[in-house]
Amino acid sequence: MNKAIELKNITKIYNHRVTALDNVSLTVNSGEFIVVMGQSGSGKSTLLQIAGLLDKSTSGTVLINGRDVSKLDKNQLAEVRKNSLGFVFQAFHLNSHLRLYENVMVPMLINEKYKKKSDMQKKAMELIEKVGLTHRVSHYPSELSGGEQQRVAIARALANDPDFILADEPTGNLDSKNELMIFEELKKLSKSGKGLLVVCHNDAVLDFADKVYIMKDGVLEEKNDEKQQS
Amino acid sequence: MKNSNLNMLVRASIVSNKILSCFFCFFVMLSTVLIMLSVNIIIPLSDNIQTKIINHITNREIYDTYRGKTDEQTIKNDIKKIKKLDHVEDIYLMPYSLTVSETSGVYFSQHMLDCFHNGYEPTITAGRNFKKGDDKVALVPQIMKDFNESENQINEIDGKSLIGKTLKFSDENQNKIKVKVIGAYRTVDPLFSGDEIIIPRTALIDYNNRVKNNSDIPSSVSEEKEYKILVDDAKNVERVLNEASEITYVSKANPVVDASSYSVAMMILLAISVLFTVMVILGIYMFLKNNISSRIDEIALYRSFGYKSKNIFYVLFTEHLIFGLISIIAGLIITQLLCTFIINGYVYSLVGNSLMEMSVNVTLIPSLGFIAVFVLILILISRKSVKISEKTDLTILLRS
Repeated sequence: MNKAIELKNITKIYNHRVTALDNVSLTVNSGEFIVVMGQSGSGKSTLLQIAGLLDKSTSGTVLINGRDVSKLDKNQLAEVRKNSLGFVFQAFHLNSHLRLYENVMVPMLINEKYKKKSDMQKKAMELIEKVGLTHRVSHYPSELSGGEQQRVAIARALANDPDFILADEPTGNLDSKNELMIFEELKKLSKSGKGLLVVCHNDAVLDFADKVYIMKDGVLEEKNDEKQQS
Repeated sequence: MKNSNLNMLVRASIVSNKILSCFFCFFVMLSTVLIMLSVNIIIPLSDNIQTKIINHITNREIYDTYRGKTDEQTIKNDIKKIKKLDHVEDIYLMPYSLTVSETSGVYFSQHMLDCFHNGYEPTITAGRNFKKGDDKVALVPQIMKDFNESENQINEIDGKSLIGKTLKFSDENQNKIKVKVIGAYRTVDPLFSGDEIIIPRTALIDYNNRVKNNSDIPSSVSEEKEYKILVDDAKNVERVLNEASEITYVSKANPVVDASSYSVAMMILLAISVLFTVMVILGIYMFLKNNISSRIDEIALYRSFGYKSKNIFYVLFTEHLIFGLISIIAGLIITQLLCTFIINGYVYSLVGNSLMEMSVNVTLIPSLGFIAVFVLILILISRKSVKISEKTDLTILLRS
């Protein structure tokens, strides 16, 4: 079975009058790097919220790996988020009182897959190595640069080995040098088979995306001059 | 998944909320002190009211009086029937207290030669109480006021100083009795007027008989026989009185002590405790609710990772349980220190010289009870807080 997030005819209306998403359909397959661009308020973050099961649509269907999640209860949705989705946020959302490796371990703490704490630590170390921060493993977030913090967030998103990574403006708080570094990290993930849905308004991402969509007034359109990456 | 894995988050939460945590600890500690003080006053007060006042021996006694002419067989039959009644602990002949003078010069004024009621436990302040088989021995008041007519002054005689001495008493008909003082007793019970020399009941009966046989002047000693019916509990007195009155003539004396004023004091203390407990519940609830509000990002993040309500509950509950237990233990220590150095002195100044025997101390069962109630309240409030956190809008993670 092809692993995919499928959004079918999604409409999201706030307060019965503001249409944030208007009949949007989108598929994120495993190994794909999908970028959604658009101006502030265009509805791209709403799309990410619905794809990430952080919010429910007014109408339409969300399928994750072929399973309709629209009617799942809170606990079932939590299970899907835990096992299939990883998040990267613009504001990093690292716990400032946990060391780097402990931050990476946070999603693992509720995962039955890890029987022992040492297993979690081992996995966290592997992920930290993957994002090139081995030398910072015992540091606290406040001792890291913005780029480093976002790399920690990427490592944390991979903690439970999800099929998909959803990133919301992952470079929004970073300088251009760190932007490229983060996009490169994300690209590596898609090459390793993870499906990526990145919401961004930074043109630098275009060099890394497999498909680019433009969101405008709640309507999603694929950008014609999409750039295929090898 | 073991919940203990989440202890890492508990530790981080504790570290991240230092000021709020200190406030919470102080609140729980203060509440512990206030509630434990109230409870630890209520418990001995309630016990005192029940055992020393409501169930005071004079509130559990019924008089069964016979005229001197009543034949022994009738008395025997009555006693036998009364003994069979429910709730009757004892029925015994109560000898009359006799006015006597001490002839060896220890006391100058006249005193009463008396005995303890059956079932009465005196407080011995020096020496010892009677033992089975004791006969010519006596207990004297802890302190007795003795009027020396020739010097025209009242002397205070310390009962302790008489222990080991032999007292020689004589009534108006020169019936003599010689007793050795073996101890001193506390006279704060309204049962005593303060000048009774207590001898064993058998010795007093014997002395009563001698007085009766050698008396020139007719007295109650020769006129009547008074039996006392001891009931197991004051609440059963009316019932026994009704049943016994069908057998013979019985009566009840007016209560020597009254519990009403003490009961009011206890109700006030109880109300204060309830008020404190409600304050604690509201305080913890408000604290946890604010805590959830201030940590909404953190909780939303956990939920985005797939944390369920039970996981969030564990983090919140454990964090506050740790604070709570530390604060309660500190509160218990402070309560005991307050009791030792302040409260007990004050309580003694209030009731020390009364029927009450009260000292306020932190004891195990109320302390464990308090901890159990705290944990229960914490569980309920944590659950409620987690329910509130379920409404957390996870999209806030994308807005910041």
